[in-house]
Amino acid sequence: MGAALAAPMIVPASALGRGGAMAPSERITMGFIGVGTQGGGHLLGGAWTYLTGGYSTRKDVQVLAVCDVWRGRRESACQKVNERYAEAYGQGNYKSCEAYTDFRQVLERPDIDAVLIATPAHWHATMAVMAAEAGKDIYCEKPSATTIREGQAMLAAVRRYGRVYQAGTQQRCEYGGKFRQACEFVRSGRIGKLKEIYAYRDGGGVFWPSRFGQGKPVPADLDWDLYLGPAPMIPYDGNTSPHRFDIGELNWGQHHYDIIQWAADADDTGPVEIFMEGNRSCYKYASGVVCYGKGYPGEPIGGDGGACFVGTDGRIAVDRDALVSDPPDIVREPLRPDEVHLYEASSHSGNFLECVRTRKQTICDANIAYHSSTAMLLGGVAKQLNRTLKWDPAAANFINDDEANRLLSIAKRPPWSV
Amino acid sequence: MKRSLSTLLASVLVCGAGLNATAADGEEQFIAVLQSAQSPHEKDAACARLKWIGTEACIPALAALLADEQLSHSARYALESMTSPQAEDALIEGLSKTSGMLRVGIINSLAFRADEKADAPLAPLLRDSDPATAAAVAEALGHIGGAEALKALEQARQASAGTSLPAIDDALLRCAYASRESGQRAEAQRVFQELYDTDKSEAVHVASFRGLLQTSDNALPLMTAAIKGEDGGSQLAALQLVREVKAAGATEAFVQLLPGLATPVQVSVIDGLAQRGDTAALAGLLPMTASEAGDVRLAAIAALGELGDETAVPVLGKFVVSGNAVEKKAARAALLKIRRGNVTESLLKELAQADPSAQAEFGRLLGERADRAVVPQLLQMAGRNQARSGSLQALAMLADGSVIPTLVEITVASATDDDRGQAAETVDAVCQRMQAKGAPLNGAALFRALKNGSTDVRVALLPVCGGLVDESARQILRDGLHDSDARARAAALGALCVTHDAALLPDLVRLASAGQEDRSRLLAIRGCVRLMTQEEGLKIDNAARIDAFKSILAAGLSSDEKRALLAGLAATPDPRSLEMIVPLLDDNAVQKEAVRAVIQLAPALPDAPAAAAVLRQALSKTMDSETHQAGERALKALAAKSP
Repeated sequence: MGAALAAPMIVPASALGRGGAMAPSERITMGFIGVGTQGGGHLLGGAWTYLTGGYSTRKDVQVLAVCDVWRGRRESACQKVNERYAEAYGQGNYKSCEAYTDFRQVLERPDIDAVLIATPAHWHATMAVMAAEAGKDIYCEKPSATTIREGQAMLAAVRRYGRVYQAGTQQRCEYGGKFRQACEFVRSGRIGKLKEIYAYRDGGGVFWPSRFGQGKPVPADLDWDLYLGPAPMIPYDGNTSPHRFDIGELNWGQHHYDIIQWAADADDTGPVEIFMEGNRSCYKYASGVVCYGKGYPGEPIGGDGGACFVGTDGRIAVDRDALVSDPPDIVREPLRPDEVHLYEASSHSGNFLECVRTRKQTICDANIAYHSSTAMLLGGVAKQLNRTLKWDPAAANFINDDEANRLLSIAKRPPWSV
Repeated sequence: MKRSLSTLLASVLVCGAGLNATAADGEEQFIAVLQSAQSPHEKDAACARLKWIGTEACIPALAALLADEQLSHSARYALESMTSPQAEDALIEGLSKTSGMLRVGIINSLAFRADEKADAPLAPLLRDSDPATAAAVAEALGHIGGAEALKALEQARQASAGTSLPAIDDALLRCAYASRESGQRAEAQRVFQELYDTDKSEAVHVASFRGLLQTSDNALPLMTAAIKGEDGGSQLAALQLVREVKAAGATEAFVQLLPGLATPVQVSVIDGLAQRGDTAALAGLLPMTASEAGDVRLAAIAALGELGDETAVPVLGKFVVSGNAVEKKAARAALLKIRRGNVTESLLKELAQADPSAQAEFGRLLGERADRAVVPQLLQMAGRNQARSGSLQALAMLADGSVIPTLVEITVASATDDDRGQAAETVDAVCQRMQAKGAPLNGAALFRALKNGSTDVRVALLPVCGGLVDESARQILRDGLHDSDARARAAALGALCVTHDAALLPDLVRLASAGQEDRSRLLAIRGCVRLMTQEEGLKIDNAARIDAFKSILAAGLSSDEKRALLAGLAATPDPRSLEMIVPLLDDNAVQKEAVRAVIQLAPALPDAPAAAAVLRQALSKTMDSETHQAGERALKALAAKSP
């Protein structure tokens, strides 16, 4: 028997959002890594987010740490969290939130149960792996990985350490359940046999830029080295965008392919062929379904995170604003018990926290995130090579294609690795 | 590998390099760049290109850069993903030529490649004085796996008390999983057990126990003991595997645990059983719905939705009827999901036994479950006045046109106005659905009852005609306006005023233009405006609308009627609408509405200057700031349209 550990980590399920006040010890303790627009929205709420008020207003969460490479951001976020807690629990009646520059210090804290990663995209998988190794449960923004090998490493680490992982592909829960309904209708055969999918966006990836040249002075309140992380050390140029190393649809692509994989019943697999049509990457699944990385002609619904599914008997299009079909009755009839019912959760953050408590599988777990990010990243490789590729989803390799296989990964700057 | 010119150039651009390479440049050219005195920028770009096309020929040139402070990462960028053994050799050689972060980078590349050839050169570095190097080596050996790596790691672990221990533990976990995957289950189990017995961190405690559970021949007893036990890490690892562990009898074992567990653990096990999907858990889950703990009840209700059959229906039915709001919602969701056994029959039983106040719940559930085979039984029940309310509610959602005659019979046979009204509403719902689908209406029985039925029956069924687009329905409504009974006349008028049928527009206009002001005229004007301007899928051209509005306006309207008409004029983009509104701008009783109508209408008119002039005139009639702001926006829109 190993080191004596504290009392059971499972806490009363009254904290599952199922009602009731709770003691501080029953709250899930969290650290927020990256508190810019996306992470700040998760933490504090805001116009863009689906999470009203943010995690800092949830009674079942205690935010103990915020972390950002920008001093102003982390200090402002930390102050706001503490102000909210002072107001909610009374001055001195809560454990203060602390601000950190280096996320490793957050991971080292044994009193933190879970982290939310909303950093620039090139950090996501590396941090997720390190968080899993530190025994933290993880909510990680999309893209879950910027290379396919990173995605594999993320999945392996989450499994190795038995952690709960939720990808920030919230469409499976949010927006009134439209995406889930669309997938249920497609998988229930309401449009007949699924033949084609129009993804509205295609593949993406990451590249390391030219690393030499004249830089600007690094602002005193920025840790440029930690912003770059696994990317090469390049001179500071004023660009600290979360997507400065992106190729193609790295930012939004996973939202679309998450839903496409769900509808195509491909959460455990992926396409077997990637081909180019014009400058857009497209996919073939083993089932024969073809997925085009562009919109369905004349169909405006689908661009905002969605897709258009075409079957032998009809068509369904879905995005964050609408779920429509042709003929219209396809989506008007409620789902019958004998049809396909998919994992249902009405709150993406709530589902994550519930799973942290009960250890059940999240709606967008690491396996799903790996496969949906891989679908998107495969398109990125095809776009770079501008030719047809054959993919073995089980082996996670391009078939007899050394050139393409070299693009499955990208060397990281030391000490970072996965 | 043969590549096109465009692909070559595009890929150089994708790599972000400003390489001065030309189309003719091949690998040799890039090698030459690496070996030249060109700038680091050029050499970095050549490395990026060689990642794609490099063969063994370029490896020496890349290897020479591994010790270059500026270009080591660039060289690894190319070497790391080359499958050639010479790339491995180059990286191994690089170990002895570098130190610090350059060497860590090379170690990381060797880790990525996971070639056992690196075991021997890496192993001594496990004891390197540089903690980053030692940790990187541990990680690399974990990636490589195999007996040699494992041996080196275990030895290092015994000696290590420092910062590289987490990396060594992680590497051992990787090795153990690799052993498991290659069929060396006992070896994997030995490593997991060793880590579990001597772990220093909670993360490794959970991970090693998880590994043990996945490799042990006695996983199930280990799991159940952990779930019952006091050790939080083991419990956590075990709970996470409830949903997936394959051992025979696992579901039954978890179910047996349930009664003795603490509430939060019960919730976790129930959730795990639900995700496990084994219906063998059902009998054990049913009693959990009676738990004193609300969280357990809720978890059990949700689980019944996944695993339940008809035996769960009465249990869930009780929550639908008398649970708290959260339980009701969960039970409804579960009852809509259950798909095993004869759930419809069970729901019918519940409906038959339910109090009148609860019938609606079961009726709605039957309707939403969309099992149309239940329609004959529901018709019988409604006809026998058995659970009539819930049966009719379900029929409203399930029945098709073929049952309209029976539903009409039920309406005719109803004893009270309330009963008749509910039955007629069911007829209406079915008719509406059939009409929306374009399905045959089968309305003969309905129309017969409307012609020959009692006044009570006619009053109940006339509203159905308001929703139909059908010649018989039209005639019945027209006749109804002259019925000898005042209640029937009022019902016919009410139905006519909500019609979707464009063919009834002249009838409505006639009523709206009648000489005498009364309630019916106002209703008719509203009906006209709605039918002409708001009815989805109905297009009535502006000329027809203007004719109708003129006719109505000529009747000498009350203020309320004028307001209703203004709504229609504002939504009819025609200059004649504006002409009709202008006089109303001076009518104090409706001036406000008239100004708003001009604001809405003007931007949609073709003659922008003329419309703007009227709009300014309208705005001069009011001091209201909000109206002025809206007017200014409309004027701006008109200005943008002006030539």
